[in-house]
Amino acid sequence: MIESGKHLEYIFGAYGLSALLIVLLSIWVVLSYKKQKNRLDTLKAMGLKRRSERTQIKPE
Amino acid sequence: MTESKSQEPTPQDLGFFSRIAHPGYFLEWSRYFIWPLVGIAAILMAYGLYLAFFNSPADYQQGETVRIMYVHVPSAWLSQFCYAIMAAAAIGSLVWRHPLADVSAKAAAPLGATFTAIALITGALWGAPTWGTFWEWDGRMTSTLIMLFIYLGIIALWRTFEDQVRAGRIIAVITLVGAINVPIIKFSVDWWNTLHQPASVFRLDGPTMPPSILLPLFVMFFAFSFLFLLLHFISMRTEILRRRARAIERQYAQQLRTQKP
Repeated sequence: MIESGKHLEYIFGAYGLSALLIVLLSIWVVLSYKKQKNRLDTLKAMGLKRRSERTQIKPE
Repeated sequence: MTESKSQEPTPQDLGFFSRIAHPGYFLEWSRYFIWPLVGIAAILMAYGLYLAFFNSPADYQQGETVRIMYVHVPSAWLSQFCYAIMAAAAIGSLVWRHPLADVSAKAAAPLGATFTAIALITGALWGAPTWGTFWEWDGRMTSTLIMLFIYLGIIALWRTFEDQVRAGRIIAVITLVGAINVPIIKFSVDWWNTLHQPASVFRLDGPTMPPSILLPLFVMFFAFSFLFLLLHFISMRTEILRRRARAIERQYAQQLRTQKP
């Protein structure tokens, strides 16, 4: 169990900053994914497909 | 014996590893790993934090600040592990020109930079009360700071080139040159007289710490590793989608140009 008053500011500072960076990174990773997914969905909705998808006969 | 086919091989004709590394198949199979990885990382992180704060003793020398190590060590490990992945991917890009290798390398760079930054910040916050200084230009710290700059340089390079295939080649060469820094970081504590302590976990004669401190360290180590794997998978999926969208947009632009009278 942690004892108070023993460099607590450094310990919580380290955990707090790490958590902040990890949360920001995770949000950025998820938002980037959603952005690209929406971009591709919009293109597909416009009827645009990749050349390979247009010509390829889908294997069973 | 398999018959020779005149047409191009479909992913079904490829070997196991070629199949799982095919970008289209990667998108297929990796989606089933996302939520399990979220669960595993969250459980390990919760258990690790519980052990770190409530169920581990203070160190006899470091006191309570030993708890910073449970974030510092896994971040520092990921900083180097991530670079090792990028270096392996660089070989994949250069030797086999594999598209997924480029995707993996590009997706890993921001993750590596973040974990390197966390390692440096937590190290400084541990050093201040323990050593009496936030920073010292010793071998381990300087080489880790250089690692952060290498990561930032690679991220900047990926954003510099419009043609991502060309970027992949150039960055792969630079990544392999930068890989020299990984053993320098690892052995800096043995080669030079550093303020940073020598290795105490990954040693030939075993770790030099009691189980009460080793257990939270290992749980957090796996929590961070699974978190990294999760973020890397999502980022790789993002990059594949981005390349597909870009390819469609380029084809469309070309089509428009040729249709012009």
